[in-house]
Amino acid sequence: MLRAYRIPHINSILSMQEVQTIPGLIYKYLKDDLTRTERDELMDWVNQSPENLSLFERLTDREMIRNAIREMLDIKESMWEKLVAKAPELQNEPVRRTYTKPKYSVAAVVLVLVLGAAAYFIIRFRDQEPATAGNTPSDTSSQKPIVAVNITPAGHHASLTLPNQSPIVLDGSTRDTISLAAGVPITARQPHTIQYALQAKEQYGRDSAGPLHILSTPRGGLYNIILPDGSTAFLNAASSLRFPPVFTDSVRQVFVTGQVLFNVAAIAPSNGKKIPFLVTILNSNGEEKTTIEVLGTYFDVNAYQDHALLKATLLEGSIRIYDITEKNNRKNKPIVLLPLQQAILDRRGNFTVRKKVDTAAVVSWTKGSEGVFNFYNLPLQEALGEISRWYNVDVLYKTDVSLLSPIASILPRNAPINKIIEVLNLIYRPDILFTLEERTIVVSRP
Amino acid sequence: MRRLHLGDQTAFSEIYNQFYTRLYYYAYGLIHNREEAEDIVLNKLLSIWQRRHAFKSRADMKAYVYVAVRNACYDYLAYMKVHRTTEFRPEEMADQKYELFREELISLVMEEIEKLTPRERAVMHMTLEEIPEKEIAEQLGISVKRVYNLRYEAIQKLKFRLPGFVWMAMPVLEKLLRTCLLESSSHPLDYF
Repeated sequence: MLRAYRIPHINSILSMQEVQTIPGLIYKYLKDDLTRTERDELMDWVNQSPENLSLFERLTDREMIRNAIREMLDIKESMWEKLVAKAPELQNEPVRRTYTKPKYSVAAVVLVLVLGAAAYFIIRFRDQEPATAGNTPSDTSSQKPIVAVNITPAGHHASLTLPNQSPIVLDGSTRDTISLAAGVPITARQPHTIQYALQAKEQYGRDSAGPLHILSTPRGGLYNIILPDGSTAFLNAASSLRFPPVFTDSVRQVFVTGQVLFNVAAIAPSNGKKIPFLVTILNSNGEEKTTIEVLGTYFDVNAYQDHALLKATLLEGSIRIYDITEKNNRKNKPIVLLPLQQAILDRRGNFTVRKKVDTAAVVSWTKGSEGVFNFYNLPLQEALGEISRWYNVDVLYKTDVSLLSPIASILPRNAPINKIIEVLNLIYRPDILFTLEERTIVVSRP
Repeated sequence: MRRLHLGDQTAFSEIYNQFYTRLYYYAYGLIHNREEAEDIVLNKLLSIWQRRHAFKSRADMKAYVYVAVRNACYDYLAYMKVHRTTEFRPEEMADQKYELFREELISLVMEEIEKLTPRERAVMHMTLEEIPEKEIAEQLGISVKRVYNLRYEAIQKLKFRLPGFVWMAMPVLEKLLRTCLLESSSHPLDYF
């Protein structure tokens, strides 16, 4: 019996410390249970070399983990068989040979698929409305549901607009350094981040920030940026961040639309005075609305304006929110948030603060395809907004959905769009019918 | 759970269940060889059964098996030192590093899984094997609804998302949730 022998003195070659700490950190990462220090430690290790990065990606592959668990549980059972073979008196007590071979399950799965397709076909047939443009002949096939052409979950895409230049597309094939007329080097790191060179302490003394750079994501795009002060911003789909290439010493101000997760560095370059970081939300007209003042923290800003105008969630540190809409003219009375709190500014201009939110749910989008849609008690319209931005599809409402009960569901973000539609149909049956036509989700009454 | 088994097979299978995974990862941590670790653990667990009369307490037995496994591992390592059969190739390093990390990571995950109740673990295993809920229910002699609940419990305990799991668990549960909510409240808008 041939075996693969390994060399026993492996330990002396690899760093034992690494083996002890890194897998533990990765496990915590997968459970979303890292403290900030741990996160930094892990990211430092990942950034050390392309080899580490590749290791990290392989080890955070949930499919791999799922298979490993399954394998381990299988081995446990098959080892028992072996043991019983050596000690037959144990035969009466199977460990837990509790399932039959998979061939049964395959038949069941196939059956479900066919049924589902048939039901789908029937429902479509009943639909009296003329279909929107783009119904291909394959729709009438009863063998499979509509194949979503080229509709993929969000990936890493963005564009960077420098003053007086046309936008530069960022999509992982970007060259490594994008040098700038003003001389600030920008590096494209990994497939999803750009980094501005860290500005030296002296550079903070300038009077004005100069024209802003704009990083924006399309629907279906996510991107990371490391700002010149070391702060990081993670943009969700259909969002933008306007920022100066060099910050001044009085204030660091950026402008946001959409959803951005910030990790702000505390900077106090001269005489120990901390420079505040301001995040100003722009509405669709580009007007400045609410501003959030930050003193070195980790927080998520959701300004999609689907439902509420702004949802700011604080993970660490503290932030102050100044609302400069007409209703709350008292600019001097900011809302202060503590960690795990979320401030919601609704369309009527009123602020509510929720004391203990599930921050993992709020920032689940940052996991990209590993994350989930955490639709907990969310109005359908808002959920569809998220879905439309993630998959880059439109939503066509043929019926009013505002009176429907909210969604309470968790869906994986790497799911194909058909599955999402299936689940939505399952949830809202028989009131609402969701179908997919080309790149549009159609919401109607059956 | 104190157990002095003088011939009780159920008791032994429980011991096997409780100890197998931990012993395996313990052995692997020492020798970094999967097949060998499996063999060692198997043999030592078998010897627990063969010597069952000799153990006075659970602690006794636990100490015995860990020491036995450890010694067998050391023997193996000593044997390997003398009879090295392959040349050490640098290009294998990266993969070996991955293997080490992977085993360590999976051992952490498995530890959590071993903390599930036997029912929860069984449901989880069968779900991973893609067995439909109805069959799981039949095999375990419980209702389909209980299968969903057990699966949900398992996911909650693990705090860890696995592909394929969420799908099967949620739609039915939140349909239930929705039905309950609708029954208890008059107006949908009251929820938020």
